[in-house]
Amino acid sequence: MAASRFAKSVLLALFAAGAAPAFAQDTLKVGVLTIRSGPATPVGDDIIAGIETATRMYGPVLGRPVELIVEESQWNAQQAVTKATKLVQQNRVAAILGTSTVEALALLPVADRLGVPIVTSNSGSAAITRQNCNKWVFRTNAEDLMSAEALKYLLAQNPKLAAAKWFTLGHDYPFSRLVAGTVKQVTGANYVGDAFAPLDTADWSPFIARARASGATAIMMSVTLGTPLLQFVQQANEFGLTKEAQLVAPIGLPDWLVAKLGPLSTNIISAGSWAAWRYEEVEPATKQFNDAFFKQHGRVSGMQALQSASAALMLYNAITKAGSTDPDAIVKALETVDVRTPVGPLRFQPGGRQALVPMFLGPYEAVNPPRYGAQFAQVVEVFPASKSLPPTGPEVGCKLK
Amino acid sequence: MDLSFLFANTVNGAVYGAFLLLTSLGLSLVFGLGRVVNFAHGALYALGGYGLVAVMQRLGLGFWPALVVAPLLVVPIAIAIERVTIQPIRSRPEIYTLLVTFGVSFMVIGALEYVFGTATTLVEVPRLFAGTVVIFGNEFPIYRLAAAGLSLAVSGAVFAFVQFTPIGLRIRAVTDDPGMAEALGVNTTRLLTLVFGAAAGLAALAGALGAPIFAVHPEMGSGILLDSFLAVILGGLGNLPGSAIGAFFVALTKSIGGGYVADWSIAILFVVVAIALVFRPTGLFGRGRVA
Amino acid sequence: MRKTAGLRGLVLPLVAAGILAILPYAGASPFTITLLTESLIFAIWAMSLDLLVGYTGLVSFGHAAAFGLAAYAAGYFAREVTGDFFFALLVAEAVVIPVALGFGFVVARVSGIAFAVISLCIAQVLFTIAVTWRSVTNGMDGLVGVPLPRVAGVTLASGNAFYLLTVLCLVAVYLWLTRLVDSPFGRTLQAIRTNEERAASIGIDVHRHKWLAFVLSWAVAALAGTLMVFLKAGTTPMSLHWTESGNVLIMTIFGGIGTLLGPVLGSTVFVFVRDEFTTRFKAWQFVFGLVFVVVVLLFPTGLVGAVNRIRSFLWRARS
Repeated sequence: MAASRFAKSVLLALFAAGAAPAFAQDTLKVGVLTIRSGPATPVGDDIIAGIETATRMYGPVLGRPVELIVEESQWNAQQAVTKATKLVQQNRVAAILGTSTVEALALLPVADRLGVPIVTSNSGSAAITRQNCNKWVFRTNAEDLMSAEALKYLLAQNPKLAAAKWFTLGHDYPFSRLVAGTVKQVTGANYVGDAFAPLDTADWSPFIARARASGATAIMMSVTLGTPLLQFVQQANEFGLTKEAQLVAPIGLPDWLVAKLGPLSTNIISAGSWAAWRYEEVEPATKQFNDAFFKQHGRVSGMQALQSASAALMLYNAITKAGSTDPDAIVKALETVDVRTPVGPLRFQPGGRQALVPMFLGPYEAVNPPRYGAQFAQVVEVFPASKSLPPTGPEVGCKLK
Repeated sequence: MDLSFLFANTVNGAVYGAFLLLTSLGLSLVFGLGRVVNFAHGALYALGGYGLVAVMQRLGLGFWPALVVAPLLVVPIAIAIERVTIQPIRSRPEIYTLLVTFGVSFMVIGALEYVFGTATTLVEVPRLFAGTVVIFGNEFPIYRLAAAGLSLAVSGAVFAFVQFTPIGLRIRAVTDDPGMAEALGVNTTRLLTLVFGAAAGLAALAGALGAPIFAVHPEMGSGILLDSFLAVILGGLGNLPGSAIGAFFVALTKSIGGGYVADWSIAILFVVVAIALVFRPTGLFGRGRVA
Repeated sequence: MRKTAGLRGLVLPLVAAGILAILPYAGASPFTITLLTESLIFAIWAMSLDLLVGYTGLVSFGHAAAFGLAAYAAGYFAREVTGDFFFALLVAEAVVIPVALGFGFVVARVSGIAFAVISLCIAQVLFTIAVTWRSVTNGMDGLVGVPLPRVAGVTLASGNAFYLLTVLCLVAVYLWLTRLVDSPFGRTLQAIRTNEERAASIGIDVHRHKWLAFVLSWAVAALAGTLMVFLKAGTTPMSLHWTESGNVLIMTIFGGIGTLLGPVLGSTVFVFVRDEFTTRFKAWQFVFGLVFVVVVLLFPTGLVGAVNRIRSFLWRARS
């Protein structure tokens, strides 16, 4: 029938359109897979912005200008796999940057099929670089078990927090459960309860009531970074909960979120941010990056931007060291590069895929005078990797083939 | 957990229920009148929130004037949507208006993201209602209670309008028996446009009213869309009192369920709705019009 | 527009299948094949929905339930026991069919919006289970570690090999469904779609037919779910979410309900267009919505209807 004949011609047209003629490219293509729509878009914006600034700072790689190709995952595992496949098959990228937990977990099982290095800078699930580690997937940010160590340290340092009645409140993600487990383990008898809200919760009042009813004086917020966290903090403040309980952010807050919270942010302590721009007070590489970022984007660099920039710099250094874009060569180079990044000197665990990266603890306070347009920011105390992570891959259960 | 906890959750649930009432009534009226399933209702809610923010920021108006202006800005947009996308296909099966409004909601949300960006905007609670009040040993934000009160007042006005005015009579006539109403000279097409616009105004008002609580972001309407849908289906499409009961039921289940079982609370709501529909497919108070 | 069972109904689909099968070797780019694989899996899923929507007149808002449930069952089995495709499929069906029998019995009592909403509720409950039953499903992080599929002992390591498997499944399902809808059972379903009360009045056991249609559509959807979990090497609770149900409904109606071929076209266009738009436009949601609205307004019978209209217009123009 005509319809099926039409179907055939549609498909033929599609294949013709898809058959890409091969011609030499001048640029070095790097893929960025991240979130570009939905409530977590600002996170994706920061990730891309950080990579852009790092790319500009580093300059050409192997004499070729770097071309960033951004694809979005819609925060959906299936889409992430499709788009990563597109980056590799259609755009022939040398590597993939970006990726948060959802994308990293989705790409892990198909990493061998993709066959390019994936350097994630925003995913927390420890398994990615421990028992499920994979030759292709590297990570520059601290993972959940490292964050657990930072939390223990925070409690040990802060007697008021150590004596508080702890409650974990967040979304129903494995990360939430892990955080709750850590807090429970560390605080023992002082753990008074937890509540894990469904994904699309906008009204936090029942959970605020639950925290209150349990007598909490410290709340670990494992709420998704983004709109939900903003809503939660605002509502917690409206209910007067912030007067009774100290809010703690397990991996810190992105600075765009801090800016939106404004004075409300001073109610919060970070139990181990993945990056902090005020590290510039100690590390010149951070200052250099902050200046360049502010010049290019007109705002202060945030946690995700600092991290993604570090990942990009690791990658570019590795490609330069490898002298080619051969995926195996890049992987080999990544295993040995030591780079001065905006989160400090960075290298990956020998025999592993996790970067020996520090975390940054501290409360949020007003910045006077404002720097890079930021009026509120985290005070930074460095928690080095040596205290949170065994030095080699095999020691954390990573067995690379 | 004790009575105090139950009380807190009940009050919070009732507050959310008042919000849901505003959006559910509109949804119910539009369906009852024109058999139109308006999937863009959540987008209209979001437009209300953005209208509020835009008016406050660009025109420098205070919260309360903006609260009045925002819905008025959304109504003409909604009427345009109805004229262009819904009216032409009213004669087709109901699924098509659902689909077209689904497409419209994508357009509206996409446009909002494009114009205003994807970031979330926090709206400060108006100073008049800032702070908390203690009732039976529980602290509640004053603004939530005030907003709920306002929602109830407006909803009450809607009820009264439908019950006691000539236009309301026509609405009820068409909902009951469209053929007969047409035969008696009611211009159903114009009536639907009017009601659609009014429903959009209510949704926009809810969005603006809720802005200091739920913040303003492009996807802000999806949660309340689903909840309103469930409320209206549960209560019976086209049945206003039923929708009101449905709204409070949904809100209380979410609130009390959230308080006690957290991650399971949403499942409870769906199970209850499913069971109710199996035994009463037209809704708990629906009057026999098989959907 | 009805396909006649018989040689014509067999030859054309097989020819189309043949063309699909040689595409990878005739110069189509690897990514096109990747997208096509995904399209064809969705096509199977959409055809199963068409059985419910287009032929029985039951609109489901929760068709992701069958899809996601099968993905989890097959994926879990493949990871724990063996990646043999047919065994995994068997396990998926063994899980999905009893669930469909149970839910279907209850939900076949209603129609219209009640049916739509109850099917949504079922899917959302399964979604919640997937999120909270962490010991089995790994919660929101999803099921990972699904190995490469094996067919008759041969591991399908290449994208092309898996694509061929998908084409095979698509053709098999298409042929089977076209015969089904032309059979007395299929015609009874269509009578129910036209007017349920009248069908009942002439002695048709409406409940039993709706029930059976429900179970069959879930069983076919389970094949799609199994294929998908192997393609993506895993699954997440999002495969059960109402947004996925919305997607497959769009594909089906977009393509043209009650045609079986419509869903195939609809899925393919949807996947390719979505991929192109999300890469190209920052405001892809707006463009997507616009295209959608235009198609619904101007082409009530979906893409297949549009094609037929264009074809008859050209035919008239020629004469």
